[in-house]
Amino acid sequence: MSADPAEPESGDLAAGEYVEIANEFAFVKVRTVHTRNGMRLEITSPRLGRGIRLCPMELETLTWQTPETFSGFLQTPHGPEPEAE
Amino acid sequence: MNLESIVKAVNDGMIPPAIYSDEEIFRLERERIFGRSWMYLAHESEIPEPGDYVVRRIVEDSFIVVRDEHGEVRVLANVCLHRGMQVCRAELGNASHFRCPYHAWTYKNTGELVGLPFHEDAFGGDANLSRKEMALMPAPRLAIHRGLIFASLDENAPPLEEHMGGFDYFLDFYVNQSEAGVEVRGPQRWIVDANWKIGAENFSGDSYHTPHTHASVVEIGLFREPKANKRKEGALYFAGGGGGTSYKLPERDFAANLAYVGYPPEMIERMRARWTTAQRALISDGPFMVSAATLVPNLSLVHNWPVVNAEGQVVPFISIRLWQPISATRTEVISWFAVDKLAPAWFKELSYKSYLMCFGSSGMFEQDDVENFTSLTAVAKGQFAQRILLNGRMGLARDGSFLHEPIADWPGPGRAFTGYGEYNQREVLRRWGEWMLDTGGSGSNGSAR
Amino acid sequence: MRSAPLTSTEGLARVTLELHHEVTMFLYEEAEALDNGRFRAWLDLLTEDIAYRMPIRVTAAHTLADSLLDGADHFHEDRYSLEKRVHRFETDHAWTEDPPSRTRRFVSNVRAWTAADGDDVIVKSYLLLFRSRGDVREPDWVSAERTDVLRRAGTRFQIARRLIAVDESVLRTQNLAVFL
Ligand code: FES
Ligand SMILES: [Fe+2]
Repeated sequence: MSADPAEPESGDLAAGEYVEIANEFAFVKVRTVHTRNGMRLEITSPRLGRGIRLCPMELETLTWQTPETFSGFLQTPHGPEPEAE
Repeated sequence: MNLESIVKAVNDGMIPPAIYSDEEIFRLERERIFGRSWMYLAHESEIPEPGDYVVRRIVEDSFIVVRDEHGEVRVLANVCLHRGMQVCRAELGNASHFRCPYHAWTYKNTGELVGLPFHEDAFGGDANLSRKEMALMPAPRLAIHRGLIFASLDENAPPLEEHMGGFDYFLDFYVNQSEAGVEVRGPQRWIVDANWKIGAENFSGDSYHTPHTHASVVEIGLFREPKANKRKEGALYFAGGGGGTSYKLPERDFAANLAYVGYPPEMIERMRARWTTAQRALISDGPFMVSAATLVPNLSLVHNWPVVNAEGQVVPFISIRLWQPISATRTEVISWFAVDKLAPAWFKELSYKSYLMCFGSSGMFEQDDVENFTSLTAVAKGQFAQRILLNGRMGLARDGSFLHEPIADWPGPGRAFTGYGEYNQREVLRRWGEWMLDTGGSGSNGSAR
Repeated sequence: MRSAPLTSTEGLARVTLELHHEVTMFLYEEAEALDNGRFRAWLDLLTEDIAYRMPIRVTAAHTLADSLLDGADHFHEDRYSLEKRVHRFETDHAWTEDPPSRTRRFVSNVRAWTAADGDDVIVKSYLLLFRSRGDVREPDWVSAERTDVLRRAGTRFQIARRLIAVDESVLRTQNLAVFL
């Protein structure tokens, strides 16, 4: 990976360097993105073509989750299914 | 030869070569030994954090050895409950959930099934396919001793402690040098065309091969011990489910002897604090230092102390290895380097170097051993060769009595001899015979004791 | 998981055609020495501070880059240990190679760069080792990519670093009583 900060994807945001996190089951790219007045953590899944930007408080809520929360998310292992949307 | 007469011959110390080459015998071993006994899979230091996993086998069966999100070690069949796809295909990794590559059934790292695509549509939801009731099949039995993770496919296997018996006294010299225990590196894995028992027997007690097979490592000044006269002064011990070889030490002093094999004072002090009086006595009064060993059926250990650099520094190493059978005539050797977690960094590095020089895929001792193991296996296939009964009676008189008395004031459990003798190899094969003849009929728990 | 550091060639200049020929011939001649059991001559091709390494390859997730373990090796040698290995083959008791294996080292796909600092040349090559022992056994193969750092020593090169990236996670040769 290059040492330069990654190019922000949408013109209005500055962004940090991507960190890639992978295991044999999933692959995501994570980086900080800077809004005009603050920052978020962006997680994208190139495979699913999905992304989310979490604010500090959303991230903070993750610290009190148990593995069950994530098991719950994984009830639909490919992400939302049509009828659930 | 039928199985009864094979076992009878083996118990007389006369070995039918077929036990090293016959596929029918291997088929029975698979079921009666590997399907029942305690099988070593991994060391806890290979999966220190939640989600860390390694994939290991018991013969053909693949298992995920994982530390779950709550810190508990699990041994899960690496088989998706849907159509049997292998869930983890990497040898190691970290994951809180495993998602099957075929249709994406998803399991927690405890094994529980948590998600499957279109559960409602495809299976009628939990009412018809209840996720709660489904989990990657755990190994029937799991036990951890000093960080060594074992599993048994037999529900009714006796406890690991019982299987190990007094051998735990000796195992401590390898993996319990401080309260922290060992950390491992590796494993190196390679395949040799040899029957799995040959290595297991060799490590359990073949001090007789060392002066000859390993003459070269003495000649180049790598290891000074294996000279014939030195080797036969060592004790050959067997206790519970395992036995091994040792070397006679020069002093009658605990610290001096450990320093002689290259341990630094801080490690010696931790060993002094960690081991029992009886364990310390082996090193101070025996005085003996453990070297190779085998816990039946197929786990071996090594402890040697070669010269590790041009300055003549002696540094010991420890290695753990598995003789993982593939067929009657092929074995995957899986070899780990182990070192006490609290050892100083310089010691860990030099000890690692000393391991690589001596044992493992490139080790200079190992190289010559394997040449013997493969050759013996190839010869054992011959129909004419199979008319021979190989002689494993070293140390026995014609009438079956011992040529030499066991060591009278042996400080450890079990029985020990000095001098040359195939006491331990016979013991390894005697247990093999017990397993093989145990058909696991009604009333039996299907396990050899 | 930590992966073994590979010498980076990013941003480095390829060597000239002439130098490329020189390093290729160097590797061929090295292979020739090994295939003919001239181990002393081979040692001569290594610097005093040689670091000779063959990390363990694992079947790892997702990227090949992470599949070479750091701190877990088949070989992690210095001059002392390589001298011992060669010395051992010179004794009359190195049974594993007595009678010796017949080996053939196929060296190909040679790429070379000038190192950022100084005269060193970084060379990557493919190696396919064929090893035949005795008369009844199937031959063994070991396939690897090697990354070498070659250093000028007067008019010739010496190997200062070698990293052997083996392709198999489970070796199908009975031991590494061979140099790669
Ligand atoms: S086989 Fe695993 S999800 Fe179908
Ligand atoms: Fe040996």
